[in-house]
Amino acid sequence: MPLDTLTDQQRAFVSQHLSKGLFSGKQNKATVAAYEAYVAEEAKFRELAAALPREDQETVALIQRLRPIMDQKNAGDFAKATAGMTQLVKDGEARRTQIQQAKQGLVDELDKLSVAEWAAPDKVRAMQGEWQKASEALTPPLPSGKQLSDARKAIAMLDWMVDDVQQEARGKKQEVQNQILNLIDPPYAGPEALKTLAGLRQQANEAMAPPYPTGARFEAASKAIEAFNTATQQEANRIAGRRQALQEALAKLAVPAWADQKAAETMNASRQAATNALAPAYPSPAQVTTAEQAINALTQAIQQETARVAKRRTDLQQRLAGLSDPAGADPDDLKAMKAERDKATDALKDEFPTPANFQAAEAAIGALEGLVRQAKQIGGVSDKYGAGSDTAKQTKGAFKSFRAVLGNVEVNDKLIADAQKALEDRVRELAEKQNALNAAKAMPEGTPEQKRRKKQATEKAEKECDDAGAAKTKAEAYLKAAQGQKNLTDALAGGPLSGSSDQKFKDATAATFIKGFTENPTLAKSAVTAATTAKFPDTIAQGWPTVRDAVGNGLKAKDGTVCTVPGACESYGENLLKMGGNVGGDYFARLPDYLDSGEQFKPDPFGPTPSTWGELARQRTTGVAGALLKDDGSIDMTSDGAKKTVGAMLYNPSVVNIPTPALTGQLLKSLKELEDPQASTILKGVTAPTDPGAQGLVRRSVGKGGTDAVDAKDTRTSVLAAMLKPLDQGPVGSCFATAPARRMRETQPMDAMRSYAEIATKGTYKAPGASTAVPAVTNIPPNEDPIMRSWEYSLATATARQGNTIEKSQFTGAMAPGLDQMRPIVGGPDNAWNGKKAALANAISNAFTFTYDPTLTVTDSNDGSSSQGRYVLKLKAGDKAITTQDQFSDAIAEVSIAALGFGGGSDQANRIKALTKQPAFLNAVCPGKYKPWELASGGFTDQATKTLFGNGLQVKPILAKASGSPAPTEGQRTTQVLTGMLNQFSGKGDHMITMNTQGIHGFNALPNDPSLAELKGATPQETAQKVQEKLVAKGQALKDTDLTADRAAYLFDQELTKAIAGEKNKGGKSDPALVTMLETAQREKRPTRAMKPAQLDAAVKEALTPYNDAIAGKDSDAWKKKEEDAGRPVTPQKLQEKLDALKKAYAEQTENGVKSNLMRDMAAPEFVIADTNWGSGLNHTFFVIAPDPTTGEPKLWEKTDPPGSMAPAGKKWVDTQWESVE
Amino acid sequence: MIDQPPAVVLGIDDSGGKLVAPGDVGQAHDMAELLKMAPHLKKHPLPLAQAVNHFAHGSDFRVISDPNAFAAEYKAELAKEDPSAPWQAGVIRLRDHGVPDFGAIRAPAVSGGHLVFYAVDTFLGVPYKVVCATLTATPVYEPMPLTPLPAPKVEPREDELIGPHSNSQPLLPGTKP
Repeated sequence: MPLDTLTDQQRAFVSQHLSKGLFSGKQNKATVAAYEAYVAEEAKFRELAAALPREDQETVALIQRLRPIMDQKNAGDFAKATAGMTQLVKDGEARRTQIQQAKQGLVDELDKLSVAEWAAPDKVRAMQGEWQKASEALTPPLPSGKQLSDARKAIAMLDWMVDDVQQEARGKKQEVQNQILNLIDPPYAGPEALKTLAGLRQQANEAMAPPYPTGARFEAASKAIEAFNTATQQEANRIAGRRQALQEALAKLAVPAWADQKAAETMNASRQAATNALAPAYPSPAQVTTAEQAINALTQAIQQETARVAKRRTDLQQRLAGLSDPAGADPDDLKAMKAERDKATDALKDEFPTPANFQAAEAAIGALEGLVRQAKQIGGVSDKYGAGSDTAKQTKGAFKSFRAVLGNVEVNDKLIADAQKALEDRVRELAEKQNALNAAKAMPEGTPEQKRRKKQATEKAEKECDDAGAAKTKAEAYLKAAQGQKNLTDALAGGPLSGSSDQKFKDATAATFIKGFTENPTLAKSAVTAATTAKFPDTIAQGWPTVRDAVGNGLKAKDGTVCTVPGACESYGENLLKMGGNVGGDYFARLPDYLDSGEQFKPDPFGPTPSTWGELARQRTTGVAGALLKDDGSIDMTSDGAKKTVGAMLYNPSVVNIPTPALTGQLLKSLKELEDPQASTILKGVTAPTDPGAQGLVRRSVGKGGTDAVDAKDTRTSVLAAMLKPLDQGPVGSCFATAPARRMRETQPMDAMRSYAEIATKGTYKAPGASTAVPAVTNIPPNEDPIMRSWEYSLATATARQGNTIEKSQFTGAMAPGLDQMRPIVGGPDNAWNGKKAALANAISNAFTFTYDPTLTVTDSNDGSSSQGRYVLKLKAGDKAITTQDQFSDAIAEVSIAALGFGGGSDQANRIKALTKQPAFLNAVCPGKYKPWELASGGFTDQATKTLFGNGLQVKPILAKASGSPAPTEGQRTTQVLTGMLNQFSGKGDHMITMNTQGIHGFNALPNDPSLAELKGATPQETAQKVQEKLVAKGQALKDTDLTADRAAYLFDQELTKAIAGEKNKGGKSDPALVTMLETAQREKRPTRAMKPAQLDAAVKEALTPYNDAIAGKDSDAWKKKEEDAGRPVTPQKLQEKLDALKKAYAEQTENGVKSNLMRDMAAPEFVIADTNWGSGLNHTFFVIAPDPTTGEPKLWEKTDPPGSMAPAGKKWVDTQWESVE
Repeated sequence: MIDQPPAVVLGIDDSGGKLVAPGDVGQAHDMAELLKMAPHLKKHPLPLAQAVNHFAHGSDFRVISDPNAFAAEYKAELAKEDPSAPWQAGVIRLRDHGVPDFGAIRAPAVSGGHLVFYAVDTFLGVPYKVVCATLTATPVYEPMPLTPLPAPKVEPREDELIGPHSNSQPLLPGTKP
């Protein structure tokens, strides 16, 4: 309702201006509304005026503007009054906003400032006063201008004051922080100190952490800094004290006088390390630690060295105490021993001997040991060879001669190396002096002064030359004595010269070798090494003087040519000695003439070395054969050419460098055989062959091409060359034929030569026991002597044919009478039947043939035993073997029906077929036990022997196949073989008798081998007793022998050293890792205690098995690659089989090596019973019966010479049937 | 008309002795007896050769009556053999011996009183030349020359090889004074 908002007063006022009552008329309403609007504006202004500060001019001005407005209102011009009032309100509000904004700005400024509470209290109070002022001035809602001005001033003051105190605080804090930065850990501070110092530093830092630390914080920081410095000083004092203590401890640790050089060096190093570490006044903890450790090490080293020296002294004293005078020692030796013992005792008298003392003691003890060893070795030699033997005398003399030069000194490798070096120095000095002498002699002598000077210089140089020459001679003598003593001592430590070995040379041989160590120690060592395994050690001794002198004079030829290459002469001499030991006889007889000739300086006298041994043998033998032949075909061994060529074959360096000892041995033997006048006669009868087969054989023999012409000289050469080779079983061959052929070659060489001549000349071979000649076999493997091998094969062929003839003769002889069984079927008169029967017998003879099959097993129906090898009946038509009774009946029927002309399905044919199966017929054509389809077992060796030597020979059983229950052991059976042979051959003078081990091998017994002599008794009983005593009992003693540790080590080393040398000598295939493996095994597995032979065998196997398995692996891998490269795939199973086979082979090789060495060293009895036929130009193999040193059981061995190695033949050999053909 | 040689029957008696029956006139145990019994045989080299061969070697040799047939048989047998096989004990092979000059082989003939014929060794298969100085003389059997066949190529075994060696330098260099 209008006017409701107006006060009464206002109503009253407005009424004044109304025309018709307050609520009447339109005009009144407008006036009231205008008034009401005015009132509203006026109320606003009043409110504003009340709020605005009255003291401000601006407020006053606003109020003063009320007057006109009031006037208008009062005049009732409400509209104008309202408009004026509205403007005034607006301006008032603007003013109010202005003040509010000014105030808010100051409030904001003040809020940004705070009183620096950390400042000094007076400043804090001042700042608080300013703050208070400002705050109070800004308290009114609309401060006056003055208030705003006061506030502004106070705020400015406060701001300045805060800034001032802050600046001051920052400077002070920086100062303290600089101090903290200077708080540095001293390098000598220990961990504890460092921890403390770090804590103090942290305290100071923390105190200064606020932007404007309080005074208390400044105080705390100062205290921490002060504490830091104090702690630092305390640590410095502590370190100085520790340093002093360590220096004092170090000063007390002196290097003892007994410290050896190495220990002293170690100690001095520790001392220096400690000194260096303590050099700074304040050492760091690391330096202190170093010093402490060095001092500890020094302390420990001194203690250890002291203990070591004490122990060494004790050890040496014990070593000395253990060196008692050997019984039976020479008085001079005893005197020398006492002198060395006294020296050693004196050197060890101090509790802690100095190194010099020890050196003296060791030298004396070493010398004493050497003297004791020498005396013991002399004693051993005396026991073995006899006190009065030349060997014992030479041994004593040799050691004395060495001592005369060396004194009582223990010779070792270092001493020898020093002596070698000294000699080289003396040689060089002598050369220098000789140069100086030559220079002096070349000086001018034109003036008297020059002459004087030259004379003076020459005399001086000559004197110096003489002195240098004498020094060189002395050095040479010293080195030679040192080498001699060392090599002789080594040679007497084990092996045939040693008292510890049962292997023994003849006295003269041993004495020669011993003396050799004083003459040429290196060559003597080689001679003993060669003689140890040589078949003919005495030959080496016989050749020693010649070889020794030749090597000594540089192999000087008559024309003065010498060899000056160091070591070459010795190497050549060694090869000659080896060859002599393997060849034997008078091998060295031609050597002096050969060396005089100068031929030793010409290489390859037979041409460049070929690639195969067979070709090498061909080259050498044809070379010699050609030189022996005169133009007429006779042999002349005395011509210069013959001597030269034979010499080359025996001695040329190229030949002995690639030695063929068996060939050389055969050559020497053949040369003696060829002294038989028949030899020349046979050769003279040899003519150039016209037979193409013979031509081909001769061509190959003399190395000619496929169509080259061959003349009589070629043919004779081929025959002679075959004679110069040993006849052994070839790679493709027949032991059945080889055995008798070898027997003939060995026992009837001229007959063998005739056979060679026949083959070479005619291309045929007529065996003595054969009815006709056979064409020579010309299909000969390469690298074989064609003439010799053709003879062997042609003999085999002739034997087969002869066997067929003989078997067929027996067959026909049995068949012919029995054929009467067919008469009822054939019918006809008697005379007609007889004719038909004869023709039928001939037809049957024509229809069948007999061949020998060595692989067939024949079982004895009586005892069930079996044997191998027999003739087989064959029906020629279809080459059908007849091996059953039915097959026989059918074959006879078939041949008979055809021969008698019956039709296949005829009644007669059927009746014959039925007849031949009837027992009556079979009994008639197979009288007794004769069964053509199952012929009795028999060897082919006997047939071959008969074919070659004539049919008068007979097969004689020596020992039946092993039987009984329990079966005899290998040892028992071997003993039976030996006694059986001895009894069989008792009283017979044959060099060879052909043997057959049924189903296995044909070979030749050696009934008169010297080794068998001691077993031959007058009666079988006596022989058996001797075999028991000299073989069986000796074997038992061998296996129970205690080998000393030294002897076991010597034998162990033989196999290991051989294996190491073998691996090293593989050239590019040598594996350093395997060499190391072997060397380690040798070092670590070498026996150190006495043991039985079986234990030694086990020790060597243990040492070598890893190596053997390793090379088996490598070899099987190589085999696999080779197979696969050749397009033959290898399955894992095949590879494993190969690996297993190789492992087995290498293990057997090791075992055989050990046993060979044991048997040699233990002088196991060896009885050579037969020649195997097996061999080559390099060696030959014999059957030997000897006890196995590890079990004591007698065994059959294959002994191969050289190098005298043994391999067991195996039990099957002794278990089979043994028989002779004689 | 070809004059057919008279047949002779070759036989073996109960004691293993060889005999020849020239028709129905009996059995001869040697050449003299045979020629006496059948003198007409002198004009027939083949039965003569058969008789001579029979008395000398029985079935071990067979007279070559047809050289061409023999040559064909020989060549056929050779062709069956392995040319690379080495000689082997107990195995009979023509290749081990060679090849004869087949052209030299003739049918039996009598000339100047000599009987000459060729016979094959029934065991070996190789031919022989047989000469009888007279018809009753002991015949001489000589193997015919055989030309060897090319040898099979065989690589040497490892143990046949000489290992590495040097022969390029003299082993002992000599120095003249």
